[in-house]
Amino acid sequence: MTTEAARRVIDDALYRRVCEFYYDEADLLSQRQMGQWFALLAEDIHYRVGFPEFYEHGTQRKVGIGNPYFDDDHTSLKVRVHLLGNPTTTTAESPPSIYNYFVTNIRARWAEQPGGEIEVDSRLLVYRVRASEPVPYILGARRKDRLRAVDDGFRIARRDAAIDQAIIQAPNLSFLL
Amino acid sequence: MRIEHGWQPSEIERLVDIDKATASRLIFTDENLFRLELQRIFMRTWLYIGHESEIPNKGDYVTRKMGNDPVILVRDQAGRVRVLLNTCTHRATLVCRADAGNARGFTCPYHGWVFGSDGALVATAEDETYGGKVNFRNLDLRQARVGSYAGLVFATWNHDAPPLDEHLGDARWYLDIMFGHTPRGMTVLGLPHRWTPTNNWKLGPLNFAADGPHAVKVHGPIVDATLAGGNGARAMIHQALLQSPSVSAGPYNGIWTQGPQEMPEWMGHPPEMVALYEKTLNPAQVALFRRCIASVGTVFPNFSWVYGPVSFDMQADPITNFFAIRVWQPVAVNRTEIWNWFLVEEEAGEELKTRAMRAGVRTFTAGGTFDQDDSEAWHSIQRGSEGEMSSTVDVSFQVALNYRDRPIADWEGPGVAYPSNYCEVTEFNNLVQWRAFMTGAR
Repeated sequence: MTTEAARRVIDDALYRRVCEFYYDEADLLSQRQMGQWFALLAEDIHYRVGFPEFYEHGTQRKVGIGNPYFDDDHTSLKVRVHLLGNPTTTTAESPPSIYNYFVTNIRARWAEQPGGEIEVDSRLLVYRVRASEPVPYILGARRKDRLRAVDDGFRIARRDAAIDQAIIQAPNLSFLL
Repeated sequence: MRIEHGWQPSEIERLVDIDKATASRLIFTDENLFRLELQRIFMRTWLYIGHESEIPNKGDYVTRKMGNDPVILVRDQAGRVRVLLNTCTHRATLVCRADAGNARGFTCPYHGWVFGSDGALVATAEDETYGGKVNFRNLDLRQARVGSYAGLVFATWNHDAPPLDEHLGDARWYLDIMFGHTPRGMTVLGLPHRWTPTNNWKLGPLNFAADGPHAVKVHGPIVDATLAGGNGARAMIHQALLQSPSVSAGPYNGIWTQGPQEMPEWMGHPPEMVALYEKTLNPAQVALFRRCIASVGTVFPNFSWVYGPVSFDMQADPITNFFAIRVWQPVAVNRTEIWNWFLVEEEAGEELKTRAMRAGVRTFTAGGTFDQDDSEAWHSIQRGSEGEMSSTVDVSFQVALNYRDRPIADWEGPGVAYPSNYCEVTEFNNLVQWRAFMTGAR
């Protein structure tokens, strides 16, 4: 292991705390505790969810500046959380859907730039059953986060997620990843 | 013999009752009607395929759909835009399985037949084995007729259809406002978002033709949260919808919701862009556009747009206009793929492009704060329409009875305008067009 790589390894106790943070976050999203989930976000968060496209080998080309499914900051996420968390402000989630978030493959390293932030990769599986549709919808995603340690735990300072579907096989994405 | 799928023209005529402004729920649920739609609408009229800015260079291609047929939109090596049926003329294999790319041609993955970017057959598995007994020109990829208007590429399989310009007719005046309001026109911000609502493909085009009354019920909360930063927005929008024009012009039906007089003009448009609009559009078009807080429209059968100003933080986030265009692809009678693009003026700087992208993805897409609620309403319509008893109850567009005989007298644009976004006339007109194609009148 290089000196640089060694420097970026986090100790077992910290890794344990990071994992607990992700399990807690998954529980909040599963239970649709949107306000409590929002409290985990740093005020300067950039939240982005992209999607894959299929290309023949070597023919990938960029069209436009690119348009992910989500590109949000703290204030726009606040609007989303407000709408989704209140039965009078959402049609999609009233009655609330059943959600189960599974988070796994958690890797954590100190960020390359010093400053006490931690880079975390994780994989996510979201299982959803809506009131009007008994067949469950399952969506896989990969996430790259930047966690910032604060007095009472961590805040998510950046989330770059990518869903694992080119054509979403559901009527909407009325949930957050 | 032509397969009629069990429907006589006289029966289809009765599905949309023009006098009563109602329609049978079977138009959303009957599998045979769905098959007939593919034949009588999607095989016969002009369909939106893509935007010219998606294929700027020779060899650029994207894969698309026309009805249930896969096609390739490609700019060939001579620079001509073509729409090729994406199926090998040997054994029907898809010759292109990517979403986008750049290629000199397409090679079938099964036997290696090669087609040029113009669709011409270049080589079979082994040309010599045909011994000269087959005319290879008959084995070129099938091509659709292609037409383009204001950067919008349409295609049709129908060689008897009128030219695209004639087909769009009066709709062009409104397309100019949305797609031709600057000298260089619009450009896409990326490849389309695609998602699959579990409802009949027509519910989207109808909603965008456009359904004024649903806006306050379904979108009131997000309007309150994003337009005026308080609870006044919903009431303002409600009044604006009640008093703004709805338009039918050729294959186009839609609404132009006008903000109140005290609202600033050109909300969300930088002054240097406004100068371009005022230079490019005529005064009547400018008058309709400058205070427009929602332009929502459908060009029959399945091309729609939605445009409007939004801010997710009235203190810190400048008001920006989102502009999404989409096609509603028929997959099955109760399943649709939405293909959704975001557009911005070609002349816009990087900062405005980024803001337009954010305004777009936060509002009108699968995870958008507007769309996610619409799709649940449409899913519920589908579930509510499927039963035997349910099929005996008609869907109602009967506000039209109150408005259809009183169009706006001094309307300055082409077509016919009605004085309220609540009128249901233009939405119902979309179904009247459906009826004309389905009965063979068109």
